[in-house]
Formats: sequence, C-alpha cells, structure tokens
Amino acid sequence: MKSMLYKLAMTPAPSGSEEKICETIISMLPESAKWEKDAHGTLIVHKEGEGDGIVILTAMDTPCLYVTYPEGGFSRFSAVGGAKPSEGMSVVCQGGKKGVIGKDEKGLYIDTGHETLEIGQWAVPTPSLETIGNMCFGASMGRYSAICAVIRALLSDTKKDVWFVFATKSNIRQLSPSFMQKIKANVLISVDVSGANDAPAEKTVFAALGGGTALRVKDAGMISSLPLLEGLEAAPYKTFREVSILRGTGGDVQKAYGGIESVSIGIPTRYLGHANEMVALSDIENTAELLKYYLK
Amino acid sequence: MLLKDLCERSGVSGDEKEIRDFIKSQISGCACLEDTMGNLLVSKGGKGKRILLAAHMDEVGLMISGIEDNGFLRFKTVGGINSDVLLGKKVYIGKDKVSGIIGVCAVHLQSKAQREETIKEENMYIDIGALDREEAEKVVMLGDTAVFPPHYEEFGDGLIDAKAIDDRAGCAVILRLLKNTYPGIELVCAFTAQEEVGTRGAQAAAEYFRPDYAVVVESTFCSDIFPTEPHLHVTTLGKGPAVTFMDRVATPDRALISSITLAAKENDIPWQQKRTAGGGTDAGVIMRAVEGIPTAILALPCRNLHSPSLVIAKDDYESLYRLLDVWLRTVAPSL
Repeated sequence: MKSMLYKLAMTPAPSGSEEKICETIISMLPESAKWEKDAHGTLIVHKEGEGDGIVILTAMDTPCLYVTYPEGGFSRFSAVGGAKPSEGMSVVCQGGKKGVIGKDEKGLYIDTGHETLEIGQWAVPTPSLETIGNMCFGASMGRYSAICAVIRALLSDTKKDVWFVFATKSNIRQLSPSFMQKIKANVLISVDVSGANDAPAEKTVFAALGGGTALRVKDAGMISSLPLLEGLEAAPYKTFREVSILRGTGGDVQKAYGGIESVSIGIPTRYLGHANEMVALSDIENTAELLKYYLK
Repeated sequence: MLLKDLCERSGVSGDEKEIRDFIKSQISGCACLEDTMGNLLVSKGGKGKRILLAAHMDEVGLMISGIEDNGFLRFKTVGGINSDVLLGKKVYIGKDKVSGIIGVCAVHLQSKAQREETIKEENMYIDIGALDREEAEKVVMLGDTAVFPPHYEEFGDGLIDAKAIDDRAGCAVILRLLKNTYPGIELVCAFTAQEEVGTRGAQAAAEYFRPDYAVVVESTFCSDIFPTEPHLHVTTLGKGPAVTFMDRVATPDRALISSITLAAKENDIPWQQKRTAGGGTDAGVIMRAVEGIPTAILALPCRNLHSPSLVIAKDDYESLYRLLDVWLRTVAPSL
C-alpha cells in the first residue's frame, strides 16, 4: 500500500488540471479494466457484476494555487479548493518550476527565482510522503489516501456490479454529476477526507488518527442514508460516526435519477489544506478493507 | 444604436419581458423560442458542430418588498448590489416606470456611529411622493421590480457609460453575430434569464440545445482604478476582451480557450486574461449540463459592475465582436 500511496502522492493533482493524476490512476488499473473519461475528465472504471449497480466515488483533485499576476519571478495567485498557503511553503508549479511562498505587505506570492510563471498556471505544495510509524504526512495526503483506498478496493475481487469514479474539480465545488448519465446504480459510497480534531488542546476528541473510518451521518453537502451507514457500521472494521462541516464529494451525485441511496465516509486527516496533511496508514487500510467488505 | 437601445431597456432578473421582447424584435431569419425559464433561444441553423453563444439579458435591480403606512416603499436587492451605490439614486418602478428616489434618515439625525458605517438596504426606502399607503398602492405593487434610470453616454477616450452593460453588451455582440452567416457550423444562441440570481436560466438553455461547444459572452469586473493595487485589477479597460482560466463556478475548457486566443493572436485582436479565480457566470451550469459541454468565457472588462453606471471601452466591445466573428468563421468549423 505504501508504494501505491507514494506514487499517488508524488503526482500533482490540482483542481481543474487533473490529467496527470488520472494517468497515474489508470496506470494502476489491471489491463483488462474497462474505463472511460467523461467531458470533465472524470475517470469511470466499471467492474461488471451481478445485481444493482454500486458507485464508489472519490475526488482526484487537490487544493491548489492559480497564478493571477506574475511580476518577474514573483507571482500573485488565487488559492482555490481550500488551499491554505503560508509563507515559506515550497511549491511545484505547472511545467515543473519550483518556488517558495513569500509574503509582503500586499499579501502572499510565489517566488520562483528568475523563472516566470503565466496567468492561469497552477502550483501545489511540493509533493512528498514521509512516514513515522503508523502515521504518514505530505501535501494533500488526505485526498491521496482516499484515492488509494478506493483503488485498493477496485483491485479486489467482487461479484457485484461496481462503478469506481474518480471525479474532477470537487474541491472547487465544480464537480459535475453528469457522469451518472453513463451509469446504472442505486447505491453511492462517497469516499472523502475527514477533519481530525485530536490536537493536544482539544477537549473532546471525536475524530482521531488511527480511529478508523469516519461514517459521516451528515456533511455540508449530503445526509447519508441511515440503513446504508448502519450496514457499514456493523462491518468488522473500526468506524466512528461523524457530523462533518466539510463539503463531501457526493452531495450533487446523491441527487442523480431523483435520488440515490448514499453514504459518505472519510479518512481522518490533520492539517487539511496546509503544506502537509497527516493521516494514519491504518485508517487507509481500514477504509480499503471496509469497502472490500461491502463489495463482497 | 443597438448597445444603447439594449442598455436602456429594463429587465431585472425574473422580469425580463421588456428586454426579451426588444431582443426578439432585432432578430430575423432565425427560429426563436421563449422557454419556461424566460430564456430567449435562437437557432440560426447551419450544418456542422453545434456552437452555443450565451449572454444573459437580465440585470441587477430592486424589488418592492413592502409599502409603509406613510407611502414609503421598502425594497430588496435582486442580484449582487452593494448598498453603498444605492443612496440618493433614482429608480423606475414597475412596467409604468414610476419614479422614486432611494433615501435614508437625514445625516443630521444620524449618530456618529451610524454615519461611519455603511448604510444597509433595510434602513433605506424609496420615496415615490405618495402621501400614504393607499396612494402608493395605486401605482406600485409588492413584487414590482425597479431599475436604475436608463442612460448611455460616450465619454473620455473611447469609453461608454451606461446602465446594464452587464450583460447587454454580450447580448449586443451576439445580435450582431446573428446577422452574419457562418458556414460549417450550426449556430445557436441563448439570451438567458435570471443569471444575476444564481445562473438559473442557462442550464435549461444548455439542456434544450445540447451543444457540442459553448461560449459565454459576458461582462466582468475591472478594478483598474485608484487605489486598487495593480495585482488586484483583475482586468484592464482597453486591453481587449478577457479570457477566464477559472472562476468560482467554472473551469473553462483549455483546448477551446486556446482555439480562441490563437485566433486573436493570428488576427491581431487584443485580448487579456482575467487575473483571478473569482466571480461566476452562466458557464458554471452550461459546462455541467447534459454529459458535459466544453465551454469558454469571453468577457468585456467593465468598471463599476452591478451599479447604476457601468463603464466599458468601445475598443474592447469591438474587439470582442471581431474575435468571436473570426473564431466562428475560421476556427469553429474545424473543432
């Protein structure tokens, strides 16, 4: 699993420019996999099987910066998708240029030394993956972990009819549910990141790293189907209920065909949107196993 | 003059009949349909890829929300209007264009704290000169919309000041293009309703036409003014139409954008990039309609957006027309 996560984490996946991460995901699919991309770049992988269709959905984009005003080697930018840039953060820019976030009285900028960027080019925190025992951290690690868990489930055996969907532009709230027109399914499991609140000063910890998979009763975009959530809760894996203020990936998709039975699950993640996010490897594994269990 | 005529018409979101009827009167030789949302959908015909041009015909304005016993009117804004621009302005209410003045408690009677803070719309009223509620109700109804006074003036070094340029300028450009013939494509156009209250009309338009490609012809904010820092100008007046790489609701199709900017470069038509990922247009819902429609946004830089007096550069307006004309003629057929 670590090598899969590493390969994902080393691939920039800025919202709106997901071509590279999509290629990386496709490279992890079996040769026999049936996949297609829709007009928005969303990747749809179909494992034909029996019974009613199931959609396993995750986003493949991450928070990022877009250059708005280059001045020589300094570029002002818009931060999108929940990105939280800060002074001193290193970034990789479109085309491979490297830079550091700087700050002056007018705000933040990307310092690319003598190299110039163009309006509309993206930048992401420098990809990395470090592990400390069961913990790992790096840029957008929560999202890469969710993708990793979904791919692990995809590579497992199932007799069910499953559509694995890796959506684009979710972080910037531009996910298009139009891919559902290509799909026949009546269950949706949306795999997201969940904000951990296990920092030392927290009085009541309800989402801790290593605590398993969050079953989101409600997030900012979706209320989960309780029978579906309870079904996952009954599985022999570590789960906990969460009422999240984050906007998950599945909200717009849940409304397809006039409503599809849906549940949102999440991998607890610290420091969302910052230069480094931290997750527990065991939570990724747990989420993958939970999905596999459901698909059996 | 077409742009002047368009800007002078009323059409607050949801109440677009006057502007829709005028736009329809300017179209000949095309099939026109008014849909349930209030969009005006126009099919020019032709064979080839179906290209949708869309501009919204609605404008920001006010809606009467209450009539006081003393004859003063309460109102709500329709669309994003900063209350700073309202005070002391004249408005025309309803289809009979009843005159009113937006007022507030006299400055002499305000506390220091009140004078220093922005006056909120709930503390303003519209004075139509009525003696009491009964008098006011003879000429105004709850739900009537109100617009800023129509005006159009050319001033300075090629600038235009008018009401509702957003997005009558886009409508004007499309109306001019509809008079031309573009072989090799099927041209369809949508003059959309209710853009300013959440891009409500455009989705229905996109679902109706199901185009292969779409270009949203818009007006966008331009803050190239003192004391805004240069990196926050977003666009610059006179530097050509702006191309959007991303905004709050849409990430335009990169290949489609490239085809437009290449046409601009090859034909020496000035253009600029919109320098923010903020704002939003009909493109957000169009590109997500059907199974996904590759969409681009071309926008006219506009000072004082969502105010009674919007300012554009005449050259930008002409460049926007020329760019779309050359793109439809030379590039669109081979998409």
